[in-house]
Order: sequence, then C-alpha cells, then structure tokens
Amino acid sequence: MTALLDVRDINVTIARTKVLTDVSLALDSGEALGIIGETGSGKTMTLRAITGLLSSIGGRIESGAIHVDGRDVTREPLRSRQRTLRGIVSMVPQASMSSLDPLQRIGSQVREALQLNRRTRATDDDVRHALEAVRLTPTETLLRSRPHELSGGMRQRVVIALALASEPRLLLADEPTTALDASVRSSVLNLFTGLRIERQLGLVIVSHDINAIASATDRVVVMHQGRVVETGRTAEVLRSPRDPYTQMLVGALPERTPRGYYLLARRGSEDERAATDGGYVPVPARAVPTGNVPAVEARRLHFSYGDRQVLHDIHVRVRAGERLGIVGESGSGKSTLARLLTGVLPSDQVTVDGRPWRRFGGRQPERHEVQLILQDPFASLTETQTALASVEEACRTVQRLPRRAAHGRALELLEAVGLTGDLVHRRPGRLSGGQCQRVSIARALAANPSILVADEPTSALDLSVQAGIVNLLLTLTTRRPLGLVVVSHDLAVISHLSDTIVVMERGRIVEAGPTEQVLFRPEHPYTRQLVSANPWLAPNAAPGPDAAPGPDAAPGPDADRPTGTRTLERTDAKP
Amino acid sequence: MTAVVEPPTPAAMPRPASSRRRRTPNLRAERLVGLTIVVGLALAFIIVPLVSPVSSSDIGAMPLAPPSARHLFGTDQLGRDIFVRTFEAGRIDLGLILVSIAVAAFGGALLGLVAAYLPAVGRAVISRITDATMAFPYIVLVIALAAALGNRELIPGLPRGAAAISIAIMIACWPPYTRLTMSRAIVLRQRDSVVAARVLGYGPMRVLFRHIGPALVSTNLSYAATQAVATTALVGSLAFLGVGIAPPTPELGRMMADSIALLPIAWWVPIIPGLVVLVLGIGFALMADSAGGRNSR
Amino acid sequence: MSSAVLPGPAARRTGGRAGKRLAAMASPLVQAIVVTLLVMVITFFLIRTLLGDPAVVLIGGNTGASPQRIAALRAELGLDKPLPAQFLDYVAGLLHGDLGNSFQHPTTTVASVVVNGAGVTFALVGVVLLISCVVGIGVGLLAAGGDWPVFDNIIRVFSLIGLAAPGALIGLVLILTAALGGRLFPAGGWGSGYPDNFQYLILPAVTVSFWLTPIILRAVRERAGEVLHEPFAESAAARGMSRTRLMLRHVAPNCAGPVLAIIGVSLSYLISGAVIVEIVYGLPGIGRAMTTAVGSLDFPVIQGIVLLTGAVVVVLNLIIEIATRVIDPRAAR
Repeated sequence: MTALLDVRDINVTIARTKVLTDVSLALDSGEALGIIGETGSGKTMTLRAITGLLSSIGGRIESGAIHVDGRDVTREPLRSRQRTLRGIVSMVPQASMSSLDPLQRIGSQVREALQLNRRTRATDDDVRHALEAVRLTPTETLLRSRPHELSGGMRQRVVIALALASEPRLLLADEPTTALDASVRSSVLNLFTGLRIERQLGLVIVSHDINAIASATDRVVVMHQGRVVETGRTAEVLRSPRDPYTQMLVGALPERTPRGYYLLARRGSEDERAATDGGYVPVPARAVPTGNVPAVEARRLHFSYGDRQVLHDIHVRVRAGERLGIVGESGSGKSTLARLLTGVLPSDQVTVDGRPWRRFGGRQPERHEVQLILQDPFASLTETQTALASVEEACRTVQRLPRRAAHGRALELLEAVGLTGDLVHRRPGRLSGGQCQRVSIARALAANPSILVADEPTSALDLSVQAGIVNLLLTLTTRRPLGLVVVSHDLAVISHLSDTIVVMERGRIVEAGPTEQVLFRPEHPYTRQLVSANPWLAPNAAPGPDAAPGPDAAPGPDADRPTGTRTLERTDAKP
Repeated sequence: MTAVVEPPTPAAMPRPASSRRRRTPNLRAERLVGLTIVVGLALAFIIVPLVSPVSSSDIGAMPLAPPSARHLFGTDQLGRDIFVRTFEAGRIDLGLILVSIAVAAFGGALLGLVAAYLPAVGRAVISRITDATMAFPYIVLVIALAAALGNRELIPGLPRGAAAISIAIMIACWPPYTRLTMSRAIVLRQRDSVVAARVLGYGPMRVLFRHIGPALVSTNLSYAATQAVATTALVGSLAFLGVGIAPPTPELGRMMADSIALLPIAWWVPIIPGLVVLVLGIGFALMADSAGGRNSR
Repeated sequence: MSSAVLPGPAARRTGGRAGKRLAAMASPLVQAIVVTLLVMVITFFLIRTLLGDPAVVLIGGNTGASPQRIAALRAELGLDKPLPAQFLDYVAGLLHGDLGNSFQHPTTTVASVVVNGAGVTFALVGVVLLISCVVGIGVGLLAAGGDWPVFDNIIRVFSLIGLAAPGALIGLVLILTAALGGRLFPAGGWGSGYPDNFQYLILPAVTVSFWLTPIILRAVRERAGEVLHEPFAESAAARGMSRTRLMLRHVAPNCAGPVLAIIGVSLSYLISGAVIVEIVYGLPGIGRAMTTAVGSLDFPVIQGIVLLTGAVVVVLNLIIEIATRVIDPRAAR
C-alpha cells in the first residue's frame, strides 16, 4: 500500500534563497502528523510545496519528490495540481478573519463549496449536514451570519467544514488553533481528532504550539531553519528529544521547567544565562524589600467603557518586590486592569503610593514608579528612534540625566537586557520581536520604576525567544526589589513569573491566592477549566505528555463569545 | 462622512510574510526618478531664463518658426522664443504650486492635529467644516476668487492673478490634510509606543513632536505629492477658463490656451508647454506613488 | 492634552440599544444636512464679501451711471438691506423652493439656469463614472488576476500619464486625433435632443475618464491582489472554483469598498474636472453658466450652482456611505 502523502528530500528556493533543505515526511490514512517549528523554520513552506501554492510566492522545488496517494505531483503546475489533488487533499488555513470571505453569509459559503465538489445543487439539508459534521448547530442565525459575527472557534469550524466539502482524505492544517483561546483551542483540536477517526483522514497539523501538537498528533516532525531536525512518535520526541534544537525547544516550554528555575534558552542566543547542559539553574533568592515600599493598589475598582462594564469590584495590591500574575482569557478584562494600574486609563480607585493617578499625561512625581510593557514588541517602540535613542530619551527625560550620563546609562541598561554592539543603533524595523521587547524593558527600567506591569509580554514571541524574556524578567526581579505584574493568558508563563495569582473571568476576580495553590489546587470551576486546558501543568516536576487528553475526549462547546463583543480586548490575540 | 479609515493592526500576529509583492524593490528607484524630474525641472526653470541670450518678451524673430538650433522649441505667433518662455513660465507655475500646497498642507495638518485633541464636539465641528469645504466644487471657488481678485496686484512683484490662484488652491486643498492628520493622530495616539511614552511621563509636546509627529509628516508629505499632481494639472487648465495669471507674464496654461487654434499649423506652440506640464506631473506622481504606499489616500 | 486614550466607542455608547441603532442610521443623514447648510451659508457670505457690487456691473461699468440709478437698482435687487436680512430673505425663498431670479436676466429663474446647466454637467459626470468604473474595475481585476508583467507595465505608464496630464491637454490631443483626424465624434458643440447629444458627451467624458480611471484601476488592482492571496481565496481556488467565479463572486465584492471610497473622495474634484473640460469643449454646462454669472456678478445664479453641486456631492456621499454599509456590515462599526 502506498503512503497517502510522501514527501522525499525536497529542496525549495525562493528567489534563489534556500528555504527548505532535504525535507522528508510521510503519512498514511488515519494518521496524524505534527510539524513543529518556530518562525522561519519552513513549516508553512512545506505545506505550500505540497499544495502547489509555493509558486504563487515565487518558490521552486529544486529537487526531491512529492507523491500524494501514489501520484507524483512534484513538477505539476498549480492549476493542474489543484485538479489532481481535489478530493484527496484539503487545506485548513490559519484561523483569521480572512480565512472566510468577509462579505458572504456562512450558509452560502458552505453551499458554494459543496456545489463546487458535486457539480449539482446542494440542498439546505446538505448545508446543515456539513455544519453538523463540524459540531456546529446549523441554526438559521448561523446560516445567515457573516464571518465577523462569529467567534474565532466557530469561524474555524466553518473553515473546516469548507475544507471537508470536497471529501478529502488528507487534511493539511496550518496553525489551525493559533488565534484561539485555550479552551476553544482544545475543542477545535478534539474536532480534528474526531474527524480523523470517523473518516480515516490523514491529518497534518503545522503549529508552533507544542501543546497543540502533543494533544492531536501521533507522530511529529521538528523543523528548524528549513530542515527536518527530528522526527518520531510525538510522545517520545517530546519526552526525550535527541536533537539539540528539539531539546532546546522542548526545554523552553515554560511548563517543562520547575518553578524557581531559569527556562532553557537557546545557547548562544540573546539570553544564554540558562544554557547549561541538562540541569536547570535555580533563580537566586530575591532581595526582600523592607520597610515602607512603594505600592500600586486597586480597591473596589469598577470600570466601564461607556455603558459596558468591563471590571467589577477588583481588589489588587502589588508592592515593590512582589510578583503578581493576572490570568484570564480574552474578554476577561485583564488588559484593561493593566492599563488602569499604570494610570493609562483613569480611575480614582487605583492608587500609587496611596495617591490616585492623576489625569494621564499630567505631571506627577509618582509617574515613573509604575512602568508598562506591552504585547506588540514592534508597536511599542517609536519607529523613527533607534534602540539607544529611545532608552536615552527615557534616561534624560525621566531621570533628568545630562546627555553624556544618559548615554552611558542607556548603554548599561541595554546591556543588562542583553543588547550590545551594533544592535543598539538599529531601529525597530531591523530588530527581531524579542529584541524589540528587550528595548521596551530597558526603556521602562530607565525610569527606575518600583513596579513593572507587563501585559502579555511574550505572547507575540516564538517559544525560544519567550524563554529569553521570561529569564530576563526573572533576573531583573532578583537583582533589585522590583515589583512585577504579569498579565497573560498563558498559565505556564505566569507560573514562573508570579508569587500570587488572580484569575479573572468576565471582569471579575474569581480566584486569588499563592501561585502554587491556585495552579495546583484550584477551587473555582473556571480556574479548574483553565488549568485543565494546560495538560502539562504539574507541580515541580518535568511532566510527560501522558497527561494529554485522549483523542476520544468529547468536543466541548465553544465557550468563547462572538468577537463582536470584545472589540476592546484586541491585545488578547495569541500568536 | 468618509473618514480616512485605518485598517486595525492585528496586534499580536507575527508580521505577515505576505508582503511579497513584486513592486517593492522598485519604489526607491521610482522615488529617485520622480525627485530627479521635479528637481531637474525646477533648476531648469530657474537657470534657463537667467542664462538665455533672448528674453521671454523679445519679439524679433519670425512668428511660428518650427523648432531649430536657434529656437530650440520654435517661436510662437508673436515670434517669441518658446524655449525661454516655457521655462520662465514653469518657474511661476511650479512656485505657485509648491507654495500653495505647502501652506495648505501645513495649515490643514495643524488644524487636524488640534482637532485630534479636541473633545468630540469640537472634532465634529471641524469635521463638518472639512466636509463642507470638500463638497464645495473648488473650481467654482477658483473662478470666483479669480474674478474677485484677478486684476489687482495683491502682492507687489507677483504677476497679477497669481495671488488669486494661490489663495484658491490653498482654500481648496487644506481639507484632506485635516482629515488625514486627524484620523492618523487619533490612531497613533492609541498606539502602544505613545502609551509607553506617556507612561514614562513624557510631556505632551515631547510625545507630539517625537513620537507622533514623524509618522504624521511622512503621511502628509506623500499626500502632498499626490495633490501636487492634481494641482499641476489644474494650474495648467485654468487659462482655458479665462482665469489665471494675466498676460504678458508667460504661464504654461495660458501658452496652451492661447495657441490651441494653431494646433494644425504649428503644433509645437501649444504642445510643448503641455508636455512640460505633463512631465512635471509625472515627476510628482512618481514621488507620490513611491512615498505613499497605502496611506496616500 | 486631555485624557486621550479613552477609546472612541465610549463617546458613542449612550442610550438604549434601539436608540443606538437609530442614531447610527441617522447620524450620516444629520451630518449630510449640516454640511449642505454649511455650504449654503459659506457661499452666501463669501460671495457678498468677496465680489464687487452687481448693480455697478449690471448698469455697465462706472461711466455715466448716476449714483441714484445704482442705488435704485440695488434696492430692486434687494442688495440695500443689511446682510443678515438678505440672508433671511434668501433662506425664506429656499424654504419655498425658490432659488430666486437671475440678476442679469430678471425674467429667468435661477432654477432653470441651474437645472439646464446641471443636466449637461451631471450627464457628463455620469458617463465619466460609467466609463471609469467599467474600465477601471474590469482592467484592474484582469491585471490582478493574470500574471502578465507587460500588461502591468502598460497600465502603469497609462495611469501615470492619465493622472499627470492636465485635462485640457488630453482634450486637445483628443480633438486632434478623433475629431480632426478620424471624424468619429464631434469635438465640441451641443445638440437639442438627448440620444443625439450623447455623441457630444463622448470626447469630454473620455477626457475626464483619463484622470479617474487610473485611480480606480490602481485601487482595484491593489485590493484584488491582496484578496487573491487571502486564505479564503486560495482555498476556494484549491477546491476548484473557476477563476472567473472567484473574481466575480469573491474578489470583486471585496473591491467595492475601496472603489466607493475613492469615488466619494473624488466627487468634487470630478465635478471640477468636468467643468474645465466642458468649457474647453464648449458644452453648455454649469461651467459656462458659472463663468458668465461670475463675470456679471449674478449672485443668485452663483449661489444656486454652488448649492446644487454641493448638495449633489453630499447626497452622493451619503448614498456611498449607505452602500458601503450594505455591502460590508463591518464598515458600520
């Protein structure tokens, strides 16, 4: 029997630059293969090489062969390849607003896809069946909705229904869960698994999300810089990776490292503090602040945008030297809280050193005490300023240092966050996401704050880069009595960066307490649900993937609300 | 009404690899060509009349002589040298365009910036005035102003009619800058970099000039280039309406309008000034194209 | 600088749900009315402060006209009253649908002058819009769909020239080639009846279209290129959707927004361009009426023309805004 998909030693170039080197992978019906890799690893290129869409971005397969269902499609041009692959291969694009035509109603998009396949009219019943197959209830409202009126999870299910319309035997999914909330993510993954078993589908899932791959695939291919560096059974590869890159990648998973230790970051990369062979490096004991230290506090905080209340009765207090994690899914109000704590949004219920924030932008002696790190590393910096200039400006303006001293101090700060040499003279456009985030941190430190509020500081970053930033924040909070508030949807990241946690759901704090207690002995049902969506989370041990839910786990209902209601929480999208 | 809509930035997405359109590498070359055309013509407009042995008003030569070594672009119906006249005319046209647009852009942008920081009511008032000005057919304004101010020499040294055209262009051209600047500033003000700057406690002026301003300047400059294209064409057409800079000062549009009847017998008289207007317009268009990208509209 | 970071929606979220929807529907209409009124007010006062004394012009210059005669004429024209009173008279007239009579020809109503002129000008604008949309959208979609670099370059050169050329220059070239050379269409003039008059509109319309078409074409090409690379379009093609169907059903509707926006922004420029070209070609549109009226300081006619064109621009923009919302409900937010 021939393999459903057989990619052998393909080499691909785009504009004479090599993007894939000797990539091979194979897959049979009913199997699920994961492709893991970071930005630029070539995982999406591999999918495009299979579907033929490589040519639309100017790519060429130089050598090697791609067989689909025994047929060689390597040299087939796009149009005829699409004809060949029809009924065999379907693609599920990355979950985004543009994975469906934004202007057409759901019903007509599904109908159109069905009709394309059958070349006959599709009845209303056919459309309903197609939607039921992806566990959607085909109400009239749903059929008449347009994509922007659906939640991310529902949209992705419709996209899957379209992909299934041509009755394929192989489904290629490119980052299918990336923009979704954790709970929705697992239900979409469960849908994939269910479909695979029901229909004996071959399934390829491309993702940077190791947890997604772990829960939905049997075998995995790890890609790095256009090469396959490791392949094998998912469980084995993730438990005991052999290749150094895979080891680093898996090690960089925050949930793989016990709390109180540095994460494993890439050797020779931006932050090599923790790059040791094997053993974890403990984070040194922190300087404990004494006496009267600055604090930021929210007390009985209610906040509304117009007539829509987004925060209800919030109590939070952070002192210099303390670390607080704020956890919640999109729409929970956590980013709003971060902005209130830093005085970006006005409220009398938030005080710094006992005094309420003045109107934003007004002069206030406490202004520098609380600084903010934002999610989007590029947008956080002013495009026209070099790294050095933006830190220098903060030194001169906030600390009132003279020009020369500011220059020296800025270089010092940049070095402390791991940026030296030529990098400091670059503008944001020529820095990586991780580097930009480091500049932001250095700039915030230039104000000499007592408390740093970080709103999803690592969500836009690759896993290995995230590890570097987490380590940096760990180091910073040990060196000086710096308070840290980390807002994130990612429990694993929070677990490393916090001593206490508050869990937020729809603008309310539903649970609060010491990190260990909240994560490992959650009380509130919502917290339990959050924790269970993080299968690897376990106390002080490097857990195995056995904790992953079985493929037969029932697909849960989408818990997320339609995106229309969360226009204010745009910062919550996940990379 | 139709505000300049900024597409929301997908906050956390890794920057799209899909900006792989073919035209990107040409942009720099395009801008260079555009800039060369405009600067080259500007220099020619200044230098040619200075060094030329004949003056634009000399009428010694044979009328309607075709282009020759003696008269590079030929002569017109009065026997004046078209070469010198064209370049002298260009100086006035280009100067008029640049000055008027610069004033309109600066004033419009400033108003837009003020509007961005006004409360909603003030912003609405400015928006409606902007809409009203944009709904106003500017050609009517030009004609009316030219009629009202036309034959007075408003500013000594300037040819008669120039001030009227200039004022009309300014009044017609400012609203887009106000709109553009206002909507951009409102977007930029909420950008993460500006939030960060204000969390650091930077003063309003610093935030405005260091962190918002630079982005506004580039937006407005690219729009100004776009507008220069339209204005070049407009100035070149005014004489056909019987308004514009009064003779005897040479002006490109007037040179075309006055000689349009000569087309079948002496094509060079109307066509050459027309070509100069066209080339100047293309220069601006290339600059606008390469600088503008998506925010030019 | 005030507390500026408050997001915009805060200001709008007042009142109940139904109220909100009503307000959302009504606000463009209210804005349109306000803008039209502004145009009216500005014109009225601008004309009367900027331009000279119509009575003097009407009587025939400064020679020999006795001050008494001028004063009598001013009284007759209603110009002797203070400005606010004149304005109230004017508004009162408007409320009765009366635009007044021409100063120059007291027996002619402004309405008839304006309507006659506008008929020609807006016919021209309509034909221009038709040509520009058909050619711009059609060629734009073709250019985005097919990968023909040569075609692309030809379009680029054409659009550069079209954008940069003064309308008059193109008019001139067209007169030369089409009328004098080919004798296909008349290069000027105007007939009496309508089917017949279209031939006079062709050349002026093509001339103005040279300017608008490239703008639409380029926007369509850019947007269509983006849409074609979006995941939904790529997967539809992979599922076997024909290029034509993909273009017509998915790409073209997604280009409608940008095209409508461009038309909205260009309207007043378009009318101005039409006025210039119609004067060059000698069409009896509002351009001719306008130059005559300005020359003789015929205030009511000037006001009438400005008010009408302003109102047309505003109404068309309103229609465009509503159309945009119908096509793409996301635009309403």
